[in-house]
Amino acid sequence: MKTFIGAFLTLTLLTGAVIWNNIYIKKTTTDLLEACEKLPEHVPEIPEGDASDFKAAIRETRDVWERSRFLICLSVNHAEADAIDEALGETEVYYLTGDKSGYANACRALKEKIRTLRRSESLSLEGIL
Amino acid sequence: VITVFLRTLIIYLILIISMRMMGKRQIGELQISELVTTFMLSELATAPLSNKQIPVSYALVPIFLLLSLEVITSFLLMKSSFLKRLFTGRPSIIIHHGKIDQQELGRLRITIHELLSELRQKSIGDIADVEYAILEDNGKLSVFQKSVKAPLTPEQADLAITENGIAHPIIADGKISRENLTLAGVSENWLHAQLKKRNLETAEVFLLTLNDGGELFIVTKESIKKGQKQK
Repeated sequence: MKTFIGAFLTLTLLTGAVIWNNIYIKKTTTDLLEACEKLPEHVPEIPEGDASDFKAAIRETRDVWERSRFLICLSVNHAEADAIDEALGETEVYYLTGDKSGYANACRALKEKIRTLRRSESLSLEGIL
Repeated sequence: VITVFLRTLIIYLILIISMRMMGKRQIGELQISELVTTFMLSELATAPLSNKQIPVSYALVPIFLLLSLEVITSFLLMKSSFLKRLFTGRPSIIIHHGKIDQQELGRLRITIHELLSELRQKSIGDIADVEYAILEDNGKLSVFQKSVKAPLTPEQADLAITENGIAHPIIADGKISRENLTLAGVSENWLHAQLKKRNLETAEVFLLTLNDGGELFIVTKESIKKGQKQK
């Protein structure tokens, strides 16, 4: 009976942890996408002169990401987490170097990678099968 | 992880159903659920070892899930005969009162040659000697010979036999087992007296057993060379 109770508790805790993890990833990716929305749409002509909005937005995005990275990496393929790190770095570099098309592409890629992370952890018949 | 969790659950159930449908012939020693768990555990444990990009949780979640399911399944099987029948099937009588149930053999997909082979492995050369053959739910065949062909027992021969029970290993590789001394119902002093009688020290004994009939069996260590066995 003790073994059964132990197994039942393990199953309950495991189910709870898995559901919590799913909710956590959903919430984190929503926060990340919201933070990404605050990034400027275009690179201004002289970025050095007016980069404060961008720097604040990218810092906020990075903060959200760094806060949750460890917990996300416990349950997500590390390659997906590395891809977001990379996309954040590229977005910053393209903005600060004034590369307009590069920045637009990097922003799109960053949002797409966040959505991919969300999709890979969301519960769907497609994902299960 | 939630996908891995649900995938594990689905694969576990599918494997159990498949193994159940494959029948008893495929199982051998283990119960179906144990076999399925064994299959899956061995594969799951190695995934994060071979690829550093895969988090350990990809193995831990399914492993703990399988272990819990296995324990819960065993418990439920113990409590419910319906579930027991559903998961593990029930013993099948292949030979009943010396008559082969051909329909049951066909249902189990066992050929007569396979049955004969199984009987030979149990030292039964003639199927006509068999009164009952039952294929157990773990895939093992239990065979009961006709009384006229079964070995004569002391009871049938009206012989008075002392019950020797089992032999308790009292000394193994020069070390006394106090637990087995208690089980055999003798004291350490009695043991030392027995060794002294045979001019032996505890350290010189490789194996000393004592059965419930009070018979001692002693093997001395080869390095001592004081003889092989004494009763």
